[in-house]
Amino acid sequence: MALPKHLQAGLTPDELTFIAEEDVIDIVPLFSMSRVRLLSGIYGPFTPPGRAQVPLWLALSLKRKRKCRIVAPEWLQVGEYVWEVLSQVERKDSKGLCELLSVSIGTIRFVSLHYFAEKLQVLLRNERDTVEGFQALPRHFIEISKVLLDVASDDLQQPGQLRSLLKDLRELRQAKTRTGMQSEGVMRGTHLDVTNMTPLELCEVKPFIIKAMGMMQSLEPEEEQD
Amino acid sequence: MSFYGGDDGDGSARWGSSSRGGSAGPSNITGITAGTGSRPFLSRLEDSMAGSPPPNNYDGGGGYGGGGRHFDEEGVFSAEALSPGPEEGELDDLRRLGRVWVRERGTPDILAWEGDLIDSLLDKLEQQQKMLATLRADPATSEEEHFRLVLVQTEMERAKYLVRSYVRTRLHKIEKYSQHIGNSPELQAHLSGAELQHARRYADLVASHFQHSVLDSLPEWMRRTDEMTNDGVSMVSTPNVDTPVLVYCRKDCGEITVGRGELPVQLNEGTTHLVRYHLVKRWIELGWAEVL
Repeated sequence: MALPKHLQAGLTPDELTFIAEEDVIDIVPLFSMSRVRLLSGIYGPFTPPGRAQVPLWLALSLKRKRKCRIVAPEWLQVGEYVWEVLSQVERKDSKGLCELLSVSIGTIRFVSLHYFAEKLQVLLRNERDTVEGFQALPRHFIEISKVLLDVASDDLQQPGQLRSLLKDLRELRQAKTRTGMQSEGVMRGTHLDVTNMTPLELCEVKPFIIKAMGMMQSLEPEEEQD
Repeated sequence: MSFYGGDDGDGSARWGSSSRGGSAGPSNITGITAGTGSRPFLSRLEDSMAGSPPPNNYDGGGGYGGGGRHFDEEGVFSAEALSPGPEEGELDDLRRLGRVWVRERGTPDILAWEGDLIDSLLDKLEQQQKMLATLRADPATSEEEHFRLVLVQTEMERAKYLVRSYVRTRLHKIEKYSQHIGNSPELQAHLSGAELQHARRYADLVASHFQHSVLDSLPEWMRRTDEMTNDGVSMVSTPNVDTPVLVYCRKDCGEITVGRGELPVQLNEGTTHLVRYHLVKRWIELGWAEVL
């Protein structure tokens, strides 16, 4: 009828992606244009090689026309910390630092490479270490990473590795969700704390849980009658 | 209180991270702790930097956009990336409608019609449409301008989709509960004029259709469509306020009692819950709890 049946249970992943596309992201335009005034705000000016902040849908639409390069969000960048630390070391008081730590600059390079290698790897490790509960993710983490990998994979460093890390992370979280649902009391209760699960993950399980909860509820003996 | 289904006595299971205490400042909002061994190196590195002011401009303005990030936290996300976004009132019309739409989709009840928002958005859309038509028709419009028009149009389509989906969602609920709307002034106040008119006409149509096709040929005592059945279920379908909804708490919403003999649940800031609609209804209306 007014709302097709498959939309009645809640938001679909496509609709969540639609919402996520309102988030702003940095792009490096490959064309020059003055400001553009849209309903949601004024964006630009676009002057390569300067950056501009635009909504994700705009970035994707420009990207499809090969008119921009998308700057990956910090969590999709490989080893950005490395360059921060290194440039810090090179630019600033590197000698003093080396003396203080009594190591060579090479060691510092090695250590920083080692420790700050990959944000997603850190995230994955943390997710694995947290047995109870989930790591906090930006709200549209899954949607954004998916569309960026689909549309702008040439703007990401090592998209293949990113893809597999993201997949690992997602599977790890899904496994937690499944374990969580098996635990006793989840379906019997009337309340569930799902802190740090992202809306997309929640929408996956929501229809099932709601139905199960309702069913368990109707099977519970009515206490009021006593 | 143990989590992960450990004690099911209170009937409220919990998956969420329990480490988010009151002491956690915004800097370590991720709750991620540094791996073993990294801390000494990092803190020493940090110490050695302490003398060099100012601390935050190490990216030389070239801009990672991260702003005040420090080396001593191994958080993968900045607090900004994790924040749920600004309050609804601070958003532009389009993003606000996005929130309104998600909320309408996520709740079983019919929420108040956001007339002002829709009117203002439709006005803007109309203006854009006029401007678009004028510029399109004008041969003097430059190539650059044409490209800009494409972007404007893309956004207009997005806006129209949102408005359509919002109205359809409401229409679905209105048709479902049309009979109930007729005798609930509270719900009527939530509808726009056109919606109310539609609800009435729809209810009339359904009633007369049932009357002609079935009810007239039944015995008199079976013809009513608004009776209670023997087990206390009404024939008039009403929004089920017991349906669980997903809410994200933007503010501390205090305690709620989820059921008889169950421990009260704390709705702390930054947590997400699946909880019955009628228990959090007022927080949703206040905007303290955001429906996901």
